[in-house]
Amino acid sequence: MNNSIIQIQDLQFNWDKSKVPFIIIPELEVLKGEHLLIKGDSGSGKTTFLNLISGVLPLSSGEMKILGENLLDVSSSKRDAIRANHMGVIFQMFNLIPYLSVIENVLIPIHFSEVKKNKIIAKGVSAKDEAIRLLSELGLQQKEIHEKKVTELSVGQQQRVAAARALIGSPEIILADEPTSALDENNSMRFLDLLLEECKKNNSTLLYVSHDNRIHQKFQQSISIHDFTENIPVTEKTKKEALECLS
Amino acid sequence: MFILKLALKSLLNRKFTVALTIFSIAISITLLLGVERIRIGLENSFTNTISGTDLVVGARTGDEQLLLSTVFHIGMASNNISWHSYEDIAANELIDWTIPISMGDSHEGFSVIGTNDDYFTHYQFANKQHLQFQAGKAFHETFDAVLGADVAASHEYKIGDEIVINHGSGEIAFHDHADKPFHVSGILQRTGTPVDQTIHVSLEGIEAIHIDWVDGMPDKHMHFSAEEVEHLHLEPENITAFLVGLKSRTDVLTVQRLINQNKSEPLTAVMPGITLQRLWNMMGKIETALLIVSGFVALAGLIGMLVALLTGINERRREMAILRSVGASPFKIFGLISSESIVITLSGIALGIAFVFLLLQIAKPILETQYGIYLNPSGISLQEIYIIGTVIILGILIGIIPGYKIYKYSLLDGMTVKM
Repeated sequence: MNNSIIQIQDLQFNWDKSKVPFIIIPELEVLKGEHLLIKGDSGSGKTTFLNLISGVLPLSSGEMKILGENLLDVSSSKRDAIRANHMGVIFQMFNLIPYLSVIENVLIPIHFSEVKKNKIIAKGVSAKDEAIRLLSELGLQQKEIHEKKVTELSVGQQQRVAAARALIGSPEIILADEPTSALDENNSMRFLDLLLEECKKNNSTLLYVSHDNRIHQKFQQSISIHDFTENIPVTEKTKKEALECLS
Repeated sequence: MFILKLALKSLLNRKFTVALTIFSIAISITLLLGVERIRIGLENSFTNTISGTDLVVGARTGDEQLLLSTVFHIGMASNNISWHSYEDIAANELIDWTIPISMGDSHEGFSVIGTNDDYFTHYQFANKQHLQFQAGKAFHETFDAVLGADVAASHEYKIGDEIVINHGSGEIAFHDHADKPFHVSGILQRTGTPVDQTIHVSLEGIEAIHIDWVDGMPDKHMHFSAEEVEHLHLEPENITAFLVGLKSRTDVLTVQRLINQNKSEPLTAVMPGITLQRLWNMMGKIETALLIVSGFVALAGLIGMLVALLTGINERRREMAILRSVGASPFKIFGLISSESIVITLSGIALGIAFVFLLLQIAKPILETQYGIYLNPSGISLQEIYIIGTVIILGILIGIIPGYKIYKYSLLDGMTVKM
């Protein structure tokens, strides 16, 4: 087995009724432990790309292998299972369940993945201890914070909780969709450094979506989503079809 | 299990709205089960207006008419029975007791019946309950009267008070028996039956007030005072009807046939239980109407739940996107919302049942004493289980709607929400 985590070959994605592709990726390979920056302006298709990687959206054609499994060939439930067992996701903001405590939020993925649960058991710790460890490493070591409702936390603290949730169970892939967009510059950089450090420790592959060019040097590889969408002729008809699919 | 736990936490997070929804379902269930209980209670009370009496005997007429006139004092008997026939039948060895009843007079719209002491010994209502006195005692003198609870309450009559009986029934009287007033000797406890609206006097009393009457009018030439007649031994020539209690209920058909085939005069003997049930069945449409109304109330409660769940859906799409991102399938998201509906429906039903039992405990004595409606305060009947089952199924079906909607959203939204 090679070191590839994600392998894409001639990937094409069309919205359901549209004949014109929305994204075309001729080739892309992301290695284990690699940190990839995905750049692109708002509305350029970054989130659609993450939805394809995570298996939420089905490919139209081509090949996308996640840990050796081609997502085109598997059922939607299998894609859900791949996401649950091998991925962690961080969104922009408001990405925690408001009525759960900090610890409960971090532990959610464990309830959907036996694989993640077993990885923690293999470490010889409980899921809760692992959640506390991750929170502490991300700068939330105070015990009283752990039992608080997430709505009582600052946006910066909430993003660290979201990062801990994405990292629990040591998933092979971390998908981060503009996680620092709601943070100021200092907190944004601090959060990114913490996330990169944790990913390094876990040897997780990080796909980090951002339109912030200043963070470019922190990543080993960067791609622009425009590279996959700019050559596609966007007509009024295409837009209409895409809108129909979204409505 | 986690989905259910999540559903519970989510519901707790929206406790005010959820509590209101549960409360509205509980009220619907309370109404539905309450109406059902009262309906059964009414039916039982109606069919038990008279209890322990095996036959009601009157002059030849329809079964329902005889029962309505004798027991409910509605309408008039078609004819009288001679005292001689009554005595003949009462002497039958299969018969344990009889209660003669003479009707036709009234007081302030309340029926007056002439009877004897056997009335207070053998007359039973509801579940074989005997009449009880709240004050005084049965009549001993010719002009003693025993009042039903409503009669006494309506005019605040006390023991010893004087009442004047009018000739004929109805509130407006053209002739009265003011020359021979009665005195209240006893007041009965409330029964919730027509007994409460009845004045009971002795058969001698009825004879005494009519002693100087001819063809339904006071005799113009002859008059006797109360003092002159009160110590006479007066035996009635006719009575209106009589109630029969048998030594053995197995003889009821034999005695009924015997009476119906009476040679001396045409008589009708009816089994009160059967006739009352037949009368109740004639009112079946009212029952259905009651059930339909309460059914719609329950439906309104469930639609309230649907509205509460649907209005919250947009705010919850982000929550569902988060769950999708951690690997929850759209089916699990559907399960989450549907289990919330089930929890709300079941909680509403449980609370509704608790309300019903609580209200029954509070209302039982009032309904029994004031209205004579005897409710079964414990246990859940098969009919109620059907009702509860129907509401649960409807609740689950209604819960599928927001579940399906969020399922569709979660397919569309994926891990991010486009709102």
